[in-house]
Amino acid sequence: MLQGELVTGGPPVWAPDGSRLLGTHFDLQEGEDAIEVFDTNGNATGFTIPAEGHVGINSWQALAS
Amino acid sequence: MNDDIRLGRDVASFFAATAPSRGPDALLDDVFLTTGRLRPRPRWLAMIKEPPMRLSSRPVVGSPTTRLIVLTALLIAGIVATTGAVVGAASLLTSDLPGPGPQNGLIAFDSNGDIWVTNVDDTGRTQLTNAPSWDRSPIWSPQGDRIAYWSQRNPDAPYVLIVMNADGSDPQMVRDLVIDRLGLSDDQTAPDWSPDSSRIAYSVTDGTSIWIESLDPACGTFRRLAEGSDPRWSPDGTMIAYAGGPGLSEVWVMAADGTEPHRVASGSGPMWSSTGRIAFWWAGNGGANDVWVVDPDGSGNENVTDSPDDEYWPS
Repeated sequence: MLQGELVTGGPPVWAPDGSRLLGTHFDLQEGEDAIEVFDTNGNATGFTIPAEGHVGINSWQALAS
Repeated sequence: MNDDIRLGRDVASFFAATAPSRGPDALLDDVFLTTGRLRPRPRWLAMIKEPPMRLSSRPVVGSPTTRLIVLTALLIAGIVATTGAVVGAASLLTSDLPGPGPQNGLIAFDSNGDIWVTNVDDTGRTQLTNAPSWDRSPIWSPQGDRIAYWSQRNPDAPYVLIVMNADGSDPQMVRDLVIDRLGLSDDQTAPDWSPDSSRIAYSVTDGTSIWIESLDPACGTFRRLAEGSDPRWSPDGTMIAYAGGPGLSEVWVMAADGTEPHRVASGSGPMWSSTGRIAFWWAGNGGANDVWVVDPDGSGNENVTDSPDDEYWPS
């Protein structure tokens, strides 16, 4: 379970190596949209990517093997 | 007897009377019989006959079988050495060349109508687009060298599909279309790259119907595949799962070229697993939404969450 506050919208986005997930945090009231990074257990990793006015979906670039 | 036959006979008689009746060897024999000299080897034969074999004075080591084995070994060694040299040279060349594209694990996202990339710890944040248009939903190509995204010049303008390089350079509009969205979310209309990056599938609408297209980003040619939304390429690139049917409330699968469309289950938000199954959500018979999985042929449909809570968007 992605346990970030107000995490919503769309499917979570897997990291290319499967180690983490992105969830989107829309806060239409405060305008503090952000992308939250979770571990595979659904716990917040502490990484947050502010994305004001974020409306679409995200993607994670491939990693060099 | 006609004239042609008569003429042929006259010509044959002429050549029989004037041409020598013996070959060059017989003529030479007459000459040497007359002069008493030995008959040398005709020079005209020297042109077409090999000189006589001579025994070599060089010592030859081993039996013919041994020599055959040695020669075969030398031949194989030569082939191996040549192949190794070619492969090594190719490896040396490619190691000096850039790969298919940067693969740095950057996260692409939209913010206030522009496309950005950043590291997972939000370092290295870089703005890739800075146009008056509203850009959204950037999707990396599987190789990580390009980004596809939707762009809208103004709130009343149709969306266009743009592909640019990983660093934001060379943005190319690959599909100019009428897309009204009709209340569809970005997840439903997001472009989806084929695994080999050779095509992009997406859903579009003209305001009355919604359909899926497959586009070649290299040249911009596209074809309409089927009525539906949420196109998702299978891991092997041979099939596309999508939302279809009444109200887009069913999971369908078709071949990558749009043939063989078939319904596989009731539900929404199809997403492939790496093993080739399709996950989706469905409320069943009026209960909570659960995550289900099904095989592309519609078999093996099973509820994998089965909880009183609502679950959506498996990934």
